[in-house]
Amino acid sequence: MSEAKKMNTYLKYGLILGGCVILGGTIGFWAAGAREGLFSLSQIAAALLHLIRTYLLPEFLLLLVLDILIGELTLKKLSQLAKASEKAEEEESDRLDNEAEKISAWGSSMIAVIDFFSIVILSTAYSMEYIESVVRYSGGIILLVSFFLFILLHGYQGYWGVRLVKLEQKYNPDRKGDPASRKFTEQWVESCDEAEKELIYQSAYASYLLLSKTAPIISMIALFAHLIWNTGILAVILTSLIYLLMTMTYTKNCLQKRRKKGIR
Amino acid sequence: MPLYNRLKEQRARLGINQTDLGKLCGVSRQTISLIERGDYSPSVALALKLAQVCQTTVENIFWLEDEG
Repeated sequence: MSEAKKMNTYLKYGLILGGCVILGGTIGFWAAGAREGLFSLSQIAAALLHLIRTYLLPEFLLLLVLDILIGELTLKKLSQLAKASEKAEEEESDRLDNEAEKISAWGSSMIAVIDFFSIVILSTAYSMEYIESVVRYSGGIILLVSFFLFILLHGYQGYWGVRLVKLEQKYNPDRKGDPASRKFTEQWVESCDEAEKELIYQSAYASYLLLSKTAPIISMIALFAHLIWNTGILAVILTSLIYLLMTMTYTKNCLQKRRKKGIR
Repeated sequence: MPLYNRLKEQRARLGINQTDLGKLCGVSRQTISLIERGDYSPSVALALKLAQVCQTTVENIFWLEDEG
């Protein structure tokens, strides 16, 4: 047992060392290259920006197709599992429920990744200066269709979310909440039993811990990027604001809950 | 501190499934399954409710490791 632990520690150390070597090498390569004038980071960024902007329409089309494929496959599989779980014996039902949880998590994560890329891609063309220049030279039809696809993509994601909730409510009528309501999350959590609530609260706390560790790092990256490449202070302000908002909300809620429970 | 239980035996004695026991106690089938497998320790209120439904005492259903 202790031998296995030793091996794990060495492996972990080796991985950390390997990661540091790769990170250091990459930074060194870019720094040396930029210093020697072999390439300019601003030129690379401009080329990347141009590439993304040129293929805006196929990029959004690809994301939309992927989104619909993943969304429909996830819902179909979840529906099949829910039907099978209703008829299954208790142990088999547990296995099917676990599988459904995994598929639901996978579908939601994939859709979140597509959401992230769609916003990053949109941001490359979402500036009045760029839009006006495109309209002036080519009429801007492709750009307009691309923006329409972006709206369609997000419209589908909202529709998918509603269908996911309705599917869960169909097979588990105890689950309450109107997905179109602003109070949906509160209504949903309220309808969960104590074990499900514990799971939600533990997951929420794990998310808080991760964000409280990563938010300051992201702020520092934005700060250094501004120092070296003059990327602007907005990113620094926004990431710092997220950290501030998160910490203040957590602290305020802790105090409120303690007061409510009469803890002094 | 590990909490052991004989909820499955008590449920079998009553001749009801996890879904029915869950409905009687106001929780889901999954929660009953988690408790039976020892993956979730219920609140005092739920433990009392389970004991009431099973027509026994809490100690007859749940016990701590060192009491075994």
